[in-house]
Amino acid sequence: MAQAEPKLTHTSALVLQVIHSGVVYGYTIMDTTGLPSGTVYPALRRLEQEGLIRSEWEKSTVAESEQRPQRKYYKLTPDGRKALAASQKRYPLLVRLVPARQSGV
Amino acid sequence: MKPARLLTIAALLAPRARRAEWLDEWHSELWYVQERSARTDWEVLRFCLGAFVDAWWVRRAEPSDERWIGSPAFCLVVMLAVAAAAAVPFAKLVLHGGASTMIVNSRGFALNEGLILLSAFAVLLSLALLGQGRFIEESHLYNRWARLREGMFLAVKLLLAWSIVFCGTCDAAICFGAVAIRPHTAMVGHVLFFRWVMSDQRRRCPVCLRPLASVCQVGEASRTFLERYGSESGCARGHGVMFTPAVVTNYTATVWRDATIPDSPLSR
Repeated sequence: MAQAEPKLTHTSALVLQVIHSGVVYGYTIMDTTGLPSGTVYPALRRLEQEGLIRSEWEKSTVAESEQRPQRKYYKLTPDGRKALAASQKRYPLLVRLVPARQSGV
Repeated sequence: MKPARLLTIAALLAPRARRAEWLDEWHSELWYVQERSARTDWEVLRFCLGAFVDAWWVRRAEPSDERWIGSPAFCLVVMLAVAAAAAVPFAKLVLHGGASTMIVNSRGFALNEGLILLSAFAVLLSLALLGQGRFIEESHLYNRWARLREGMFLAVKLLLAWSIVFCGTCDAAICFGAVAIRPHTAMVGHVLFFRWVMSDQRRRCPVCLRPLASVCQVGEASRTFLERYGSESGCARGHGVMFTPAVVTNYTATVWRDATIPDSPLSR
């Protein structure tokens, strides 16, 4: 039986799109989407639990050299890329909301 | 209160095993909120309040397999303790004759109680709350034994709920000298408590009777007309998935499915 395409809420799709655009840690996702912290972080956990994204702490030496706390980076998994492609068909405005690849702040 | 302290309090909601990492991430994010943006105190506070939502989400998503707190026995023990706490003062009042103003004769009192219970069930029926626990099942795990266990659990909870409301309202009526309005408070108490019992039953896995976890929204009203639209939650022990439609129509129903059915989200 063919697997059904995963259906994501608009918020989850937006978070995936932002991660795909290169904005890769919690604060900047929140800043880019304008969503409150109480929405963004649970969405990140759920996406990670569903295997659509994965998280990784950056090396402490990098954070120390820049005199800031360590960041937890989020990346799309292959399943996440598929889910995003399906969501972009479902929500055509998604690409326009977060168009260009941005660099991490 | 300092934002970092708020995060420490929120961390208490997160499961112990994940608390340290959870707190590290939120402290890190707080630093960026405070240092890299011109946010007002209110915005920083709002950011920290989001930590409570997140910690609660992490707590709920955590498999409750080993947690005594989520077990059906824990639910019954807590209800039993409350029932005992309400019954002891009532028993003392009866023994010392304090309840005589309320119990003129035992037959009339029993009839009154029966009528109160009937009225409460009539209200629940009219609000369609008694059907809350119903669902269509597509599961081989939800067998005769599981049904019996689920039915017994519900019956014991209803019995305990009744005894808590009965003794509690009698205690309150005598203590506050409000015997005349006891039937009314008892009826309201029964409706509210039975409603909780039914919704608690719905939130549990019908097989192991532990709370369902990982609640997620499926579909969107404006885009999935006639498609799946509602919420889905799964049993942490992998017994199945409960789909609850957001809008109940004649072609949608609450469905409990095995995790092993190919279309089931847990089997993907």
